[in-house]
Amino acid sequence: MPAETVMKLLHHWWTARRDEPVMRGGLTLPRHKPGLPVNGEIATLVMPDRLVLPLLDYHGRRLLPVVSVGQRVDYGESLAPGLIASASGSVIAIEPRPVMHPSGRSELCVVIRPDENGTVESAVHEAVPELTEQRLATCGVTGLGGAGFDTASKVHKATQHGEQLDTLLINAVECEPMISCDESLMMCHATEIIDAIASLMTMTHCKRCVIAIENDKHAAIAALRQALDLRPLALTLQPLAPVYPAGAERQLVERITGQLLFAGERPTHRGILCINVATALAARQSQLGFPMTSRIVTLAGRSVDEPVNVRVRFGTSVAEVLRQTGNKPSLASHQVRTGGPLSGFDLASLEAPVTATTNSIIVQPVQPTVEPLPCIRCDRCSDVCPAGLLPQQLLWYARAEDLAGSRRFGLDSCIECGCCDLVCPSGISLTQTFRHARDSQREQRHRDQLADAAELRFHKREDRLAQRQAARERRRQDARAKLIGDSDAIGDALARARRRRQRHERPGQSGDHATPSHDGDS
Amino acid sequence: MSTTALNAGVVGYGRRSVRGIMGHVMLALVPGTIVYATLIDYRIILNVLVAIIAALCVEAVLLRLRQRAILPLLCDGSIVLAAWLLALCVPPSLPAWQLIAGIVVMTGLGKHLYGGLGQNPFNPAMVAYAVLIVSFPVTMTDWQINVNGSEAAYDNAPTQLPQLPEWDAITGATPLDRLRQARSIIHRRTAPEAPTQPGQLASEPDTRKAPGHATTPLAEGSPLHALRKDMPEGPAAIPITNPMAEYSRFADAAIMRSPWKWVSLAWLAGGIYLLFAGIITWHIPASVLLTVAVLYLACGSVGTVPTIPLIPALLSGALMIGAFFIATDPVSAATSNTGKLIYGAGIGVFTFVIREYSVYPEGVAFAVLLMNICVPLLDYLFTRAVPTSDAGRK
Ligand code: SF4
Ligand code: SF4
Repeated sequence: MPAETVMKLLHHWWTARRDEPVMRGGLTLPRHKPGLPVNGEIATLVMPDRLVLPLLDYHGRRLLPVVSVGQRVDYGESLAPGLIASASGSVIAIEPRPVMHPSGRSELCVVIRPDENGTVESAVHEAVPELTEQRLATCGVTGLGGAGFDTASKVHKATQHGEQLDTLLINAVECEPMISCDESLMMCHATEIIDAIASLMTMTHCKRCVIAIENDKHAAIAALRQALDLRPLALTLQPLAPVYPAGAERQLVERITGQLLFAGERPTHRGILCINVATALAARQSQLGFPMTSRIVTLAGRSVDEPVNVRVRFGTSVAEVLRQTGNKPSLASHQVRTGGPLSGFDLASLEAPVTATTNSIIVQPVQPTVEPLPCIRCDRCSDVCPAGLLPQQLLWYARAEDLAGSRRFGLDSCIECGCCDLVCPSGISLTQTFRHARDSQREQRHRDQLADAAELRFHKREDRLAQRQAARERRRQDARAKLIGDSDAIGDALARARRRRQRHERPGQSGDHATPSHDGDS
Repeated sequence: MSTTALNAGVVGYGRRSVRGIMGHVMLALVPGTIVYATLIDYRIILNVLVAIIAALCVEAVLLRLRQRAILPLLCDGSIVLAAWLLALCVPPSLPAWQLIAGIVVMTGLGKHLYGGLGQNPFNPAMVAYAVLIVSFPVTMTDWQINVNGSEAAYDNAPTQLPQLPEWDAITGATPLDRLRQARSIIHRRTAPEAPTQPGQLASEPDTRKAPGHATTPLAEGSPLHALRKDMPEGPAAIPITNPMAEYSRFADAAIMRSPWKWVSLAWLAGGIYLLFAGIITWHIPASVLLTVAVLYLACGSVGTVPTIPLIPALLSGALMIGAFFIATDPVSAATSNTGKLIYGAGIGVFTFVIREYSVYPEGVAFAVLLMNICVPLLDYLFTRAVPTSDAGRK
């Protein structure tokens, strides 16, 4: 449409003028980045007395433990495929415990009591000259960004996928307000990060590397530049105007490369490997032989006196993290949110353990619930939607649980960023509705799969039965044919006998019993 | 699990509430209302107050009947705004009971019948306006206006077109009403007199027949004159008295010399404020005004229809308030940008057609209602393509 074209031209002009890729939609939010390390150190915690490691993979599928209760495990030992013991100690239970989930549900977890001197951490594997997928898997490296994908299989799939990987995109955009874990990591470990990028580029044979970073992370940019001076690499440091949610993978790819991904398409399909900066560092550590057993968590929020970035061992409960940092919130008066103030969720239990995707713990006083007003069709939500959706239209279908309609309006492309919620003057919880709709869609798909499988089984069984029936029929036919043949033979024989009898004049005997009186049923 | 929506405050994002939006719109209405009250008729203030109070009462009753929470919905401001707009659209002399009847219609028929805020397909204020003008055609078109404190009767129809008295002597109809009469007079007078003196007018347009008025400094000095002269008068038909130019000049004078133009300008100012405050987008007002402008220009250049020059056309009647305040009501307007442009263009076309070819002097209300009907279609046709759908997957 002409107006759209004009807007697009203006947009391009503006983009060119600013010399920075502009993203579609999104919001410019006030930037508080609390808890940045002032002295170049990231806080640490003392070892908790329990570590709870959920037996779940990033899809939420259950893992089968390869350890048993009472067994001793070593730091870095595998507890289940893809799950690494984050401290040496003994397994004291494998039981359901609350996990990081909006519903606060419980899942099977391996509970470890760490050894007294379990804090000693050394490389558990030999350092290898070149990073391999094998090594990533043994060290349990998973994405430390949002989704927590298993990095080894991500790389594996990427290299499997016919097309050559071309670009390594390092995601250092921490677009959510109030989270600064990646930024502090870059400030403290810039040199290692550059090394990590070098390893990853060698491993994936990427020709080009782009570090996407927000242009207001001055300290981190300076640190990276300094590190780059020491070790020149063929990479571009791409500063971006801070817009939420610039760090979402699809949005970032779109912004950096100008390529629009379809729903369900991964950047690797376009030859782009997108890796979070913290994950890259973890990959490097795995090359050196260190398993991935901790991450940096930003602790912030209005009820946190001193915001801080702290390195937390996986399996430490949120309550423990809060306690050790001197906070004592209760869920009655506070809401504790993980995963980011916007795209995260509130915890239902503080006993939930920190996992690879726990980028932040935000503690706020409980806010009064506001009754949402009806939608006034102001269309602000469509203006800010980074996926270019029409949230208010989608809302109708999502509320009506019309999955076909929701998909037509792009439910699959919704990244659950919460921008639409934030601008909605009526205060409608659009994102939550979409999240539910996606969940139920996933469930539906699962059910469909089950149903399909059942149908397949049914058809197979039908086929099998039909085949069996056909075989039976065939056999019967054969038998009958044989029997008819046989009966002829018998009849002949009888006739002969009769003739003979008649010839011998011996009346009174009839040997007709042998005449087939029934069909040969087999 | 609590909602993400609550966290607007946490991240320091100043979300605009419905009440805030409505508040801004009302704020933008204030200058226009004040200008209206001071230059045209102070009773408008009373009307606005009566309308708002009545609307709040009716709304409260209806919410009670529908068993909804009264306070939050009463406070969202939408009904106050609608009442205010309705009061501005009806003649200030409308009897209070009729205004209140309009409010009842607006709240009941226009809003709650469809399920309240956000559900109504038609602009409630315009529904009420339409019902009022159909039910009380006399009072609704009787612009007995109280100027300078004295009740002045509606003056007699101008028999000599260009003899346009100054505003304070008119004290009657709105400019559009006068234009309508003028048009019928032109029609009557030019019909029998065949074109006999062509070209007379084109040479000296300003001095013919009305030396005293058409060349008043006010009109002469304004850029409108230049603009009008620039307008091609049509190659073919320049009839005797050139009714087109006659009408055009009359219209120019009638509109530009009436204080209504200040009211329109005040609405425009309010609208621009809304644009900059990010309450409305430019699409609807721009396309409404542009369409009306193009249509009047086109008619002017065709030269066979009596028409109003551009600027007066834009400053006349309810066009400004319609384009910026009524057509932009998000609930009943199209949502996509293209849809908004078409919606606005439709309003422009219908306004023009109703103004020029129907029995009603002003067509904004009906134009808005007519386009409201088209909104579902527009929304269906012009929803932005969702680029990341499965359809495009390879
Ligand atoms: S939550 Fe989904 S619909 Fe809402 S703005 Fe984000 S991507 Fe768009
Ligand atoms: S922002 Fe809220 S009120 Fe506005 S269109 Fe979207 S859902 Fe409706």
